[in-house]
Amino acid sequence: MARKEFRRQLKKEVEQWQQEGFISEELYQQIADRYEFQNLTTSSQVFSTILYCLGGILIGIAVITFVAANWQYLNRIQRVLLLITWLITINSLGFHLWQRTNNYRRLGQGLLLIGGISLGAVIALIAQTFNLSGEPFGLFLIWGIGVIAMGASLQFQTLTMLGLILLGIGYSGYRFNWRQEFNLIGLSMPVLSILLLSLSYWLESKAVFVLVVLLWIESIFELLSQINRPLCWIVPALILWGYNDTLKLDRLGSYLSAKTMQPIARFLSLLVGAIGLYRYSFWFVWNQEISTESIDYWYYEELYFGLMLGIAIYVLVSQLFLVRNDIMTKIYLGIMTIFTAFALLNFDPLFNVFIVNCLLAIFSIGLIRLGIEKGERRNFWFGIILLCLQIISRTFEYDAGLLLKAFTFALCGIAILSLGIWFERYLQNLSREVNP
Amino acid sequence: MKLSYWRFLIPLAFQITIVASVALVPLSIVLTGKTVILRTTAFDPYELLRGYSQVLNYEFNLLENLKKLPGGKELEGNREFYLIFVAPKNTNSVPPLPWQPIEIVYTLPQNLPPDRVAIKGKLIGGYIADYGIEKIYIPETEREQINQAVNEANRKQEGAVEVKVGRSGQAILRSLWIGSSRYEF
Repeated sequence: MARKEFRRQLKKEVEQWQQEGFISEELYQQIADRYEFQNLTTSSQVFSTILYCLGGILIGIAVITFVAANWQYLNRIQRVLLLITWLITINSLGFHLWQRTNNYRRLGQGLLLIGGISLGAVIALIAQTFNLSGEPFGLFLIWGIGVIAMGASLQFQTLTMLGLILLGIGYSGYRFNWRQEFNLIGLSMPVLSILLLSLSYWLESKAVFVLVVLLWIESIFELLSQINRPLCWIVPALILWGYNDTLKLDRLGSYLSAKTMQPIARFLSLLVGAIGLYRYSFWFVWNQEISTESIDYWYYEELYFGLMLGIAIYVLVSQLFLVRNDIMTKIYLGIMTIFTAFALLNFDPLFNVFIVNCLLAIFSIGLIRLGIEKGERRNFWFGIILLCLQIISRTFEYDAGLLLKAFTFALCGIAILSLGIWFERYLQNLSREVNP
Repeated sequence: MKLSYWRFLIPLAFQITIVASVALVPLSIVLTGKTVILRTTAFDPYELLRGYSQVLNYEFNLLENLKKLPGGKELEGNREFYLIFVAPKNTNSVPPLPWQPIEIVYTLPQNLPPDRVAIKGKLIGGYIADYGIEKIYIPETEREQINQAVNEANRKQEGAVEVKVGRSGQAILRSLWIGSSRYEF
């Protein structure tokens, strides 16, 4: 649809043409239909919209204040009914304005978001009404699920993301809760997060995909951190690298999805792998003892853990030996294999640190190479920053003299500047060669 | 393209179910539960200044007091248990007399006599027990009044709460007794 100003101008012109007899009534109607003149707001309409909104907000505030003033005189049943009524009203109004009107769609979406936030407030107020004491993570988990249900059903990306963030907050609370309370949503998160992946295809949203993957990575952490810390990084990195939604469903060539998430999954894999390598390039991290006490897992958790390990090994083997891939993938997976070996074998920490530092350096140089080879800005800068971070971290970790620190900083700065300038110029040349 | 109303109504119904399920259990306990009076040892004086909620303490929060009861020896870690209370002889006095804890069991007791009730508790980190009735929300307008009454009750050691106990052992706070005056929330 053309811009509003243009349509407004066009409407004025076309009306004049019709009056002057340039165009017929029929043609006028056709143009009016094509440019949806009846949906155009005039300035007086905009003014009245603002007035309606202002009035609505004032009435809303009045209702909330009135309820707050009389809250303690209401009995418990009345309070619950009032809260549910509020929830229904705000959501219905939002949905109606969003879907059934043309000028108030934004307002409707805003109201639906307020409705999503209200759900948590309503649950919290009910808990307060009954003097229920409990950890806040339970509230966040159930709240997130409720909001995701609404967002997914309406295919409303922002609302779904709000729900996923709430779920993430709740899950973090559940993981770090020292009371170890039972919570079904928290316990089933490893499986739930995989089921939620379908949301990113339903909504065709990369942001949703990233949020769900982060949730899944956290659940892997919850499962693996007690067994072997480095594996927490390696397993998600490998599985994400093998994530493949570009498979063709049948020979006619219909894809599993219109918008493939594979590139973003691979980028996340590199990110997770880089963070893991960087973390274990520090000596003190290896020195923290890895607890080997027996953990009482739920049966399903053991099963899940085995499955994830199996998939990770499958990805490793298939990408290394079975698939004819470019050499960079093999180097990346080779780095991960060596990292895994050193994570599992009990060598001297000092030796481990040396090896992981070598791996990290190869990893960042590989990224830089990849960036130059394919002219990808993201990989190039990712590698450069990682390499500099590594050098600076090592200088600080091993307590070098001030002079050496200054020297290292200067060297990294010069390297970033010179390489960066060279790379950007190289990219320009590359694009000039492609489109002369 | 317009979304059909069903796409909106089904998740809305789901959200309302969530809200109702949070409210339903405590509501049914408040309506049908057994009224029990419990003595509070001290009101936490700091929480009161901080906000609208107030932390309550009971003698049976402390592990050392629970260990003295029959069945208390096995209490450790993060274990869940049921504390059995017995009603006072005289139930009509004002202020009402508190119920006394007499025994600890580890499965929900069936067929308790009418003068006894089981309240579910959980030992946390192996040193303190939690019954879900340790926090009370106070309406803003009554704060000053309750503040003074609580200070007096702390001096005389005569604070008590009235709770409703459901069949599952869950307790819901109903009101606060300070001396012979009752504050309902």
